[in-house]
Amino acid sequence: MNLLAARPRSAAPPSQPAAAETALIEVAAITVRYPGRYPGRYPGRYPRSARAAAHAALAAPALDNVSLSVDAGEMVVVLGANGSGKSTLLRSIAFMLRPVSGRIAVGGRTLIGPSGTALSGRALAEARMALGMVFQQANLVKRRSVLANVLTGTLGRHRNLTSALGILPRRERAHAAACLAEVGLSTLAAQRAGTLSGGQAQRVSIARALAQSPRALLADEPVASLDPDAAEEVMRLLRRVSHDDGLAVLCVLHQPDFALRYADRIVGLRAGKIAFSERPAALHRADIAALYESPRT
Amino acid sequence: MSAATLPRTRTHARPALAFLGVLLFLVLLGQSVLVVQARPQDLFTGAHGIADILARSWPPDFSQASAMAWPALETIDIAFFGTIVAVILALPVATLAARNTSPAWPLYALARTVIAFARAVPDLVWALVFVTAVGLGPFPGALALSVHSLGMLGRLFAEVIEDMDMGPVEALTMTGAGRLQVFAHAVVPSVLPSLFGIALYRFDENLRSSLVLGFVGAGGLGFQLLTAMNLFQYRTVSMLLLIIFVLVIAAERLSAALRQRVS
Repeated sequence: MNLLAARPRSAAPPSQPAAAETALIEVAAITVRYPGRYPGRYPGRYPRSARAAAHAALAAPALDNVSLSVDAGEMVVVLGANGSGKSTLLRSIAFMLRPVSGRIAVGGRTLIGPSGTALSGRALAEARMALGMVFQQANLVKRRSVLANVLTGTLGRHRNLTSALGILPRRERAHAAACLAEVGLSTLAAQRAGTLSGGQAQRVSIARALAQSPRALLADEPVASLDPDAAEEVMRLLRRVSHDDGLAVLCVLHQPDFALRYADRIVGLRAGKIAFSERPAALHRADIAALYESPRT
Repeated sequence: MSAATLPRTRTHARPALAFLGVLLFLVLLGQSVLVVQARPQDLFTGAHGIADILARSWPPDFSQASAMAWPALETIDIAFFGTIVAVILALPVATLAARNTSPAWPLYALARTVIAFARAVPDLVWALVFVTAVGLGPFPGALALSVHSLGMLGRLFAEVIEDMDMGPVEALTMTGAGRLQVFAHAVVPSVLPSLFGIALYRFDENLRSSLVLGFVGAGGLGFQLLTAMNLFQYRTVSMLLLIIFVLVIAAERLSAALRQRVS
């Protein structure tokens, strides 16, 4: 299926135009230390005990004074070896981990300020609406229909009892259908999510993220568990929503070839620090290979 | 590394541990035989009494079968009411008693305590409590099953919720959805088939329990059975046992068929 042929527009307010050179994701000098255990069962919940803080202070930083920005309509791919801090970077921007220092802003809205001030409650939920997230696994509710899964992306706009019962305005259903059309899966709207292939499920998860009407999209190894054809489709789709819809896309990958072909800019992470941030044309294979070399060699 | 320097592994200790395990099992079995005062020979000497009761129970007296329709309906409805009320109560309690969905530790501890207490007290004791409170009849039986099943279902529901895939929960939280929305749109659809299967199995169990509860005044076929036994009407007893057998088998089949359909 040629995804580039499907070009329906979403019914929700349009995102920033691609031409606008505005940094939608801004990360300024963040340092992240793991406290030694997963910080909470729900994202956004952090250990607050003095003991956890002491653990965090002693641990080596997973991210050390990292700064980057992603503009509207730009697709940035982050490469790096296991443990280099790629997923930590994404999870920090998504507010699933809390940096010990630095500033993070999405769409001009500061999530975490330099003095440690952070959003919470309703303000945090609203900030998250502007930030779509695509996970390594599609994380769909398998027993529900494809369209019902996409519709859940609109829930943040209707935080009330009726939406919890599944009653959403008709325009949201139309918006979800448009998002599904955008990923080329309109024909599967009524199908159970559990019956989809890995590639289809990942595209539905992108449609769910688009249903949020986000300004930026984070993708954490979105093609890691897909076959080559499905991976190509997902990468094409991510680039298209970035270029055509003006979303800032920050994507973590383990495949340098995909990064070179689809990214507008590649950021290399090595041991929690940025090794380079260059356009693909300006990079040599050796620069990328160096990211995966052991520190001793 | 030479054989002499090989570290001692757990495999060396296994035969000794296995021997100790068997020994412990035999000691436990021996003490249980002593404590229950087991006398297998009594089964042989009592065979004559059993044969006498069986002879007096045959043929079953079906002349009163139509009068048993109402008690049979009572028995089914005690189980049905008890299961439905238990499911309604167990859903929120289990949500609080599951580590991954409980909003705060005190609520988790409270929910776990409620579940443990409801389970620890046998349904027969709950029935005696409710008979004292609301009088004889099917209602105290249904209440007893509700409370005891709350404990059983609460624990099983909580385990299902704890074992669920948290991916959809994480994904929906990231969309900005509220806690109630995440629960309704990610937790409930993921666990509902398992919960439905458990509830059906519980109905099956409750149907059997409702018969026993009749013995302490909670109505239904159990009460009829007790009355017939007290009056030495063994042919009525055998007729009631046949009705109960049909009911239990029918409930088992229906429950199994529905569970298979849902899964």
